[in-house]
Amino acid sequence: MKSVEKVAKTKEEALAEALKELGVTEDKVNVEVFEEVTKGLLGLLTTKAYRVKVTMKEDVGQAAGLFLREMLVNMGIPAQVEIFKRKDNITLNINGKDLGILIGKHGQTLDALQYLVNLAVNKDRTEKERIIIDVEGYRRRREETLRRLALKVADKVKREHRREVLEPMSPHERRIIHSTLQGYKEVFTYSEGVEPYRHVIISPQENDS
Amino acid sequence: MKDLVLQVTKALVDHPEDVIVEEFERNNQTLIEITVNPEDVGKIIGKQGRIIKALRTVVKSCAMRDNKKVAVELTNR
Repeated sequence: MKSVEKVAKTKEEALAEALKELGVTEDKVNVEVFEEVTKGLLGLLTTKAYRVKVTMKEDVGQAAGLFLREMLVNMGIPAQVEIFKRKDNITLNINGKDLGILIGKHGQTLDALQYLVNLAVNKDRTEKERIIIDVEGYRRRREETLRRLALKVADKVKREHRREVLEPMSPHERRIIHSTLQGYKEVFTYSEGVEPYRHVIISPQENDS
Repeated sequence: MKDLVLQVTKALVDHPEDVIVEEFERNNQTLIEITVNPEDVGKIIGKQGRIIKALRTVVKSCAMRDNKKVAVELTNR
């Protein structure tokens, strides 16, 4: 993290000097102020000065975007990265042509990419930031598809009173199915199997028999 | 592809200056060998190999596009 220290007669002067050197405004930095007292001859003529330490606030979104862009260049994939700062995460959306290779089977490549970017960006950070990587809105569309699938299959289970086994899904995808059907009284959901083949089962609620 | 492995590896370890990534060709297959400081081995492998698995997944999807076979290995030299 970049920081600068300046000493001046007043806090304001020291701060202004430091900001000038960093070329930023006050909202982009953290400021620490220290008082320094220098005793003159015979303990008389003490002079007071302020030392100000100004540290650049880190922009995690920018850092994550930069890291992902460099990865894409190294992969030989021409694409743009948009950064969205949300309340509980930072979403990086990749836009470009033929980005299927970034998604992979069931979004496996996308999940791997997201995992690596999270590790790289959060290394040495005490407060971990959750970074979500999406390709052309793939995750959002997939979530909608899963919600629709969950409701459709739940209806079938309710009608036929027979449990249905869904295809293997990642933990995140399984969570979407569980949460979609949480308020659905006629069925209950659970997962079976071992990763990466773990899958959700939608079963009729048994108390009606 | 070597650059990708180098970038990611350097970002994950405590001693980026000790990272060496080499690329070899043998029987139509590309081998990318990573060497890191012994203290950093766990940072590249991860719990149950999760980190190196993710790295391999990303590298392989690129290799597939180029109709190539690429293996990523960690050496202990």
